[in-house]
Amino acid sequence: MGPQVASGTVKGKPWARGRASGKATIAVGIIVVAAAGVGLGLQAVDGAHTVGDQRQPTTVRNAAIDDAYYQCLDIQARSLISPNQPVTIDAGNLGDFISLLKAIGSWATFSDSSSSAEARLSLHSTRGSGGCRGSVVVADFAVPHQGVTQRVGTGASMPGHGPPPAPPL
Amino acid sequence: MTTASATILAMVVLSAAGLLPTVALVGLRWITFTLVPLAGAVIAALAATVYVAVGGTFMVWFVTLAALGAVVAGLSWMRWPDRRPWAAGPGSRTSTTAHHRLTGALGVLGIAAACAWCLRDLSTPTVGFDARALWLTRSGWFLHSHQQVLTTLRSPSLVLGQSAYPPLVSAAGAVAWSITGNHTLRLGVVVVALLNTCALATAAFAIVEFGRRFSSKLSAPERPGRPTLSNGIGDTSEASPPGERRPPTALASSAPMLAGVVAAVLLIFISFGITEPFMTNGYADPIWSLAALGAVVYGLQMSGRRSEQGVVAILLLTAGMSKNEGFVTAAVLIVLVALRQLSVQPTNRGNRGTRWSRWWWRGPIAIGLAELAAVGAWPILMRVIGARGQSSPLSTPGEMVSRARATYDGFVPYLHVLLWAVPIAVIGGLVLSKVRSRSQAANDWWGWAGLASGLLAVGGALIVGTSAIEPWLATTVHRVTEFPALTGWWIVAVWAVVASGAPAVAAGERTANRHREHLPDHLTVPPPAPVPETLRAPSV
Repeated sequence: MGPQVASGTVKGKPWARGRASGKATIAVGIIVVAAAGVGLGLQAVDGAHTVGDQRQPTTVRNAAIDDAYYQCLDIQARSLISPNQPVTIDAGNLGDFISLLKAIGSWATFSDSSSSAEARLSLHSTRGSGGCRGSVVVADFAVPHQGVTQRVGTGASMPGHGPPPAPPL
Repeated sequence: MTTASATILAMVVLSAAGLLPTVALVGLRWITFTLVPLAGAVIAALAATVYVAVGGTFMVWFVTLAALGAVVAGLSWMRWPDRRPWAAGPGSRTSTTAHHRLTGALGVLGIAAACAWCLRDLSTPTVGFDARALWLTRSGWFLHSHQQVLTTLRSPSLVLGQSAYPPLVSAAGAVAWSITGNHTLRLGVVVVALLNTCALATAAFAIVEFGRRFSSKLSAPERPGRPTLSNGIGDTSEASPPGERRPPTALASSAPMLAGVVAAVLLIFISFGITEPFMTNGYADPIWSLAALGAVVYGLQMSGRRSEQGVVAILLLTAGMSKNEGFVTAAVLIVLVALRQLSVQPTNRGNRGTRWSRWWWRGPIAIGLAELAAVGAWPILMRVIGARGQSSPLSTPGEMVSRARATYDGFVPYLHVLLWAVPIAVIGGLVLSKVRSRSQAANDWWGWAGLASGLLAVGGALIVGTSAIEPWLATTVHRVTEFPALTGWWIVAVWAVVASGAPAVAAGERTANRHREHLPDHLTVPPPAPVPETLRAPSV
C-alpha cells in the first residue's frame, strides 16, 4: 500500500483535480481584475465629470435663480398671512399650485377645506415691477382685513418673467 | 445660526441619538461613525411615526425614543457582558496584523477624501424640485401641532399624493430645524446630503474590510491540525499536512486588501456619478438606494457575522423608512437576509444540543419580523389615518404588457453596468469559485438576488401602476434605477477583490501540493475523518 497523502478538499472535491488549474485560476483572476478595474475606473472618471458638472456656472446660476424665486414668493406670502392663519391654495393650474406649495408649504397652516380657510392664496401675473419674475402672491380673505378682501404680496421682487428653469426631476 | 454651524449641530444631535444603539448593534468599528447619524435618522423617522399615530410633539418623541434606545443598549450590555464594546471576549475583534489595520485606516482616509471631494457640489445652492415640494415641506409639517399634521396629510385640497411617502428624510430635516432654529431648505438639503454620504461610505468600506479580511486569511500560516475557516464558520473539511505551510508571498496575499481600498475609492466617484444631482439636492432616492445597497453588501455578500447583522438592520431600516421604493425593496431584502442567516446558522452555533441551539432559527425570523414591523408601520399608519395618495388602482393585464416593454426600454440605458457585471460574475463563478470560497464572501447568487429584488420592486410599481408610463419613466427612471446600478458595480468590485487573491490562493495550493508530494512515509497523515453533515458549512 503506497503512502497516503492528505488532500485538501473544498466541498468534498479535490483542490487540483477536476477543477481549474492553478495557472488557469491566476490567468482568469488577472483578466477579471483587469476587466473590473477598467470598468470601475472608466465609470469613476465619468462620475467625477458628473460631480464637476454640478459646479458649472450655468448650474450654479440656475440654482441661485430658483432659490431667489421661491424666496421672493415666500416673502410676499409672509406679508399677507401669518404662519398660524388657516389658508388654502387656490391656483388656476397645477404649476402655480406647486410653485406656491414650494414657497410656503413648510410653514403655512393649511385648512381642511376652502370654507374653513381665512385666506385663499393664488399667483397672479403682473407687468409691474413688484412681481417675482412676473408673478405676485394674492390673498383673498374670507373676512375683510382693514376693509379689503384682496391684498397683493409685498416686500420682495425679482426681475425676469416666468418660473425659473426647472431643476432636474 | 449659519448653515455650516447648524449642519454640524444637527449631525451631532442625530449622532448622539443613534450612538448607543449603533455601538450595541455594531460594536466599535470604523463604520460605526457613519452608521451613528443614520441610526439617529431612523429614530427621527420612528418619532415621526409615533407622533402622527399618537400625538404629543415630534421632538418629545424623538428625545424619548433616543433615550429608550440608549436604555435598551445599556440593558443588552448588562444581559450579555461579552457584547460590551470594551469587552475583549473571543470573536470581539478580527485578528489582524498592523499592516492590515493600516490598510483599514488607509481605506477610511481614501473614502473620506473622495466623499469630501464629491461633496464640493454642495457649494452649488441647489434645492431639488421634490425636496422643495415634498421632502422638506413635510419637515415643517412635523413641527406643527398634531391636529394640523393630520389635516395636512389628509386634506384633498393639497393634491400632493406623495406626502404619504415614508418619513425619514423629512424627519431628519425636522430635527435639524427644531434643534438649530434655522428653518431653511438649504440646511435640510445639506443634512440629507451628509446622511446620503454616510450610507455610501458605509457600503464602500465593506469592500475595504472584505479585502482586508481576505488578505488576513491568505497571509495566516496554516498549521497542521488547524482547520481552515472556509466561510468563516468552522469548515473542517480541509486538513493540512504535517509541517507548517508557508503563506504565499506578502505581495500576493496583500493584493486583495489593496484592491479593496482602490475599488472602494473608485466606488465613491461612481456612486456620486450615478446619484448626482440628487445626492446633494435633498431628494430621498439616494438614501434608500445607498442604504439598501449597504444592506445587500453586508447582509448578502459578506461573512454574515453578528456585527454585520447589526449594520444590516440599521441600513434596512434606513432604506425602508425613506421612500416607497425603498420600503418594498427593504421588505424583500429583509426576507433574503433572514433566508441567508437561516442557511448559515446551523454551523455557526458552538454549543449544539442546548436549548438555544435547538431554537436557533427563531433569531433570524424574529429579527426579520421586527424589521418588517418597523418599516411597515408608516405605510399602515397612512392607511389608518386616510392620508392622501393611499388608493392605488392597478392597470389591466393588457396594459401591463405594454408598460413592461416601456419599463424595460426605459431601464436599459441606466443599467449598462450589467454588461460588465454579468460576464465577470459568470467567468468568476465558473473559474474562481474556489478563490471566492477562500475569501469568505457569500455565494454571488445572493448579491444578484438583492439586485433583482430592487429591480423588480421598482419595475413592478411602474408596470402595475396606472399613471401614464412615458412621462413617469422620463421623470423618474434615472433615480429609481440607482439601486440596481449601484449594486451591479458593487458586485463587480467584490469580484475584483476576489480575483486579486487568485495568485495567492494558487500559490498556496502549489506549496501544499509540493509538501504532499515530498512527504516521507512516516509523516503522512490519514485522510481526514468524515465530517458529520451537521458540521459542514454550506456554501453561502
